[in-house]
Amino acid sequence: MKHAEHDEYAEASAQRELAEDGGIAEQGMEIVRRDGCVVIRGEVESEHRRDLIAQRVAAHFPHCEVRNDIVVVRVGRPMEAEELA
Amino acid sequence: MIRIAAVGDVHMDVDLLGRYRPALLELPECADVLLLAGDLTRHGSRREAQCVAQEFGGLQVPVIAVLGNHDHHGDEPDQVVEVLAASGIQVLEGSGVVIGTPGGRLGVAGVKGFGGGFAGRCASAFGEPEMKSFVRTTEHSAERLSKSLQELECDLRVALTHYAPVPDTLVGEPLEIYPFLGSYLLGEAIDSAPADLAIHGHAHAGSERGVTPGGVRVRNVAHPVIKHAYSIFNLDHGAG
Ligand SMILES: [Fe+2]
Ligand SMILES: [Fe+2]
Repeated sequence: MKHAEHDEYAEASAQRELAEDGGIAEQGMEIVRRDGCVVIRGEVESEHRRDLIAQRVAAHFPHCEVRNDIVVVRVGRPMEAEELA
Repeated sequence: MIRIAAVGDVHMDVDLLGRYRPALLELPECADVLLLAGDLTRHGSRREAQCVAQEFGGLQVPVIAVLGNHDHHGDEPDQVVEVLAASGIQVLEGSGVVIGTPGGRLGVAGVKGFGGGFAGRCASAFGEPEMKSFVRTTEHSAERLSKSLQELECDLRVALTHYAPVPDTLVGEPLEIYPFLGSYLLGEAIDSAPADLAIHGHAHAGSERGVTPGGVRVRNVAHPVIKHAYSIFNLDHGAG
């Protein structure tokens, strides 16, 4: 994978990779560029996916610290039903 | 009253097996049916479809689904449908089904749907062939949803799609991607029946509740939105 020269292109290519690699197929992750670091935000279905995404994104920003702020969505039973009358 | 459980965007693969099962096994106590609003797999492979079948099949309530864009990525949606059907999960695409429940006959009509955007800010079937075919895909899908909703002989009618029929349930998503998240044509189809409730997924960062211009309640049940194994809607006659 080639490292884009500008952070904006790096973000775009990281996003494309997350969506288009069938082993990830994750859309809607947020890659937020901050001073000297990159924060990844979003919600995924497993810890394995969370770590894989962070690893892939980090490869696009070799000169930045990448912080993983992705959370795994809960799967409990809902406490109540919505009444639609 | 008919009790409807629904969830979308579970994006199954082997790493998730067993994750939803404990909550699903409790379904018969609180729901008459489970609706799956598409993106059942990660990228539409047979292996992932088998995971969906294992996780969501063999429940004590009927399970009715539509596919999502992720289920199409492998270019073999028919194979996904076949694997799901073998486990008793019925997949709708331009079709409907009526199931008997203690609260009456529930009719569900479903399509995956497609994008295009919302009134005043939407794509038109104009210009390049790629653009026309994009918009016509949605038009065709909406026509089939309208027809299958109208053909249902039932007490309560639910529209099940993957793409969103209204912008209300997209709030939280970047405005720039709304045209990839849904189309007003689906909303128009839902109002044409009209349905008593519309369920969709796809917008992971969207919001839960909306309403069509005709007053039909819309619920986005994408898993990251509802943050539970499923939502439950108790739908009463005279709703909508
Ligand atoms: Fe999804
Ligand atoms: Fe989707």
